[in-house]
Amino acid sequence: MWLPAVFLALALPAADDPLTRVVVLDVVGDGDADERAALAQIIYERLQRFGKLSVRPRAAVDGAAGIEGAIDECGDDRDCTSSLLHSIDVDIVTVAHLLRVGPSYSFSLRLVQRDGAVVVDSTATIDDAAALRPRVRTVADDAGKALTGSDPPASIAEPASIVANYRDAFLYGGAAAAGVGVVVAAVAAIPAVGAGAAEGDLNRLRGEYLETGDPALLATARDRQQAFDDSVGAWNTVGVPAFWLGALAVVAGAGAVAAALVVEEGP
Amino acid sequence: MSRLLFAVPLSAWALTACPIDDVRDGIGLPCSIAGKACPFDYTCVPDDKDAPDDGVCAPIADYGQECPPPTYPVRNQKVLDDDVVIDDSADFLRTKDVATVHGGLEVRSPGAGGVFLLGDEALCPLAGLQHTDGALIVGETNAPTLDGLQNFAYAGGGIVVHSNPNLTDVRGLQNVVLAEEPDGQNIALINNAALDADAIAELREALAETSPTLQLRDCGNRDSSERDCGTLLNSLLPGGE
Repeated sequence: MWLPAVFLALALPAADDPLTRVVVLDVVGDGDADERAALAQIIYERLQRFGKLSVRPRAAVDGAAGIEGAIDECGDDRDCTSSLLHSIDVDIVTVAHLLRVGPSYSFSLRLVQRDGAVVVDSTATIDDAAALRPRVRTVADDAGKALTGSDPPASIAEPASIVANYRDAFLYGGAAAAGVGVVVAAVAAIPAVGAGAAEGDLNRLRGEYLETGDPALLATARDRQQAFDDSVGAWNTVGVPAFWLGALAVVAGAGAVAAALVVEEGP
Repeated sequence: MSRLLFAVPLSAWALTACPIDDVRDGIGLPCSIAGKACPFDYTCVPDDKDAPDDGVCAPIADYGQECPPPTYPVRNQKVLDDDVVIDDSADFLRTKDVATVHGGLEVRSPGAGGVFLLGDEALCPLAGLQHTDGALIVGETNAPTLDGLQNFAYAGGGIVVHSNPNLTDVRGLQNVVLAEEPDGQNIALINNAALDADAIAELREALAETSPTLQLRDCGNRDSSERDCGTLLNSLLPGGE
């Protein structure tokens, strides 16, 4: 029982291992500025999930404004790149380039060390704009894995990725569950409403009886008492559990829909 | 494991929470002359001539001229476990809101041969009384009516109303459905000097509607044909033969 735990502990990095400092530079190339900024944000968020990395956006680094274009122009010239990165206190920078070819895109992501060495280099071709962000997400994930040699920690990655990977199921399933929950809760509440109506009738019949003394009202009241008993019995035995289950389904369904609307779709 | 210990009862509670509190009006509830009582402020009236024991609860429409109706709904009904004797106003205070006495209840003069001078409320403090296991006795008082006893339905040891010189109206007993003993004289009206035949007939008529098996004994009242009631009275009072 304890042996796997020992191996697991040995495999994990020591708590005081220094983190690799990564700066995510802006994406350069085609497309409008907002779209490129969104892609840079995706890269930042995806890399941030890896525990061994300390990731910052370019805006958080002094003296890095406009450096993306210069690095891009350096191309494969390692000395050129190194000279540009020399002034930045960082281990790795991301250099991303978006190229539009007709309706398609070509997206490249390189992770470049401070000395100009490229440690990860990946390129993806994307057929249309709708697939661009999911594909960039995958490219960033692969780059992070290649850099760190491991997957992001499950506890951080799973909740968001489950929703992202099954977004439609969360959206439509949640809506369906909420709808069914509303119906179940409404049906379950019918006996309670019936009991309330019977109770109101009894109060009214009491008033009428005291006013008129009509014995026929007692027979009516006896029927309403039976209706009250039946309604309360149905509510207390079946209605209450069904109502709460329905309410639970509404809450869970609404939560799933909300999660699906908040979390972006997965690759 | 500890989460499970909390989760299971919590879930069970959640699934059974919010039952309806039964605060409905008592009109129309089933009752029986033989013993299934109605709630406070209701009396059991027969609803089927073929099954005279079966009844339905009807609100008490009239508490008489002397007493106001009790506040509705009445919740703080009390139960006393022993015989109760009321011979001063303090005793009346103690019996207010008492619904059931597991023994007999007697209202009487504090001294032999005297008359218990009731206050303005007369017997109204007994308006909550529904049931006595023993006898209900009202004797030697200045009560003009039995108003306040309209809720009273069951007397295990019978009912004796005697020696009340000002008593002219006994309709306060009109909702009695069961007075088990003594046989043949479940309700005994004895030596009430001002109580005339019409007043007794009114009670008899009202009881015939709801409890036709009840026997009413009339002795020594203003128009009674039977005048010598000493032996009878002694036999009905506590300690009598």
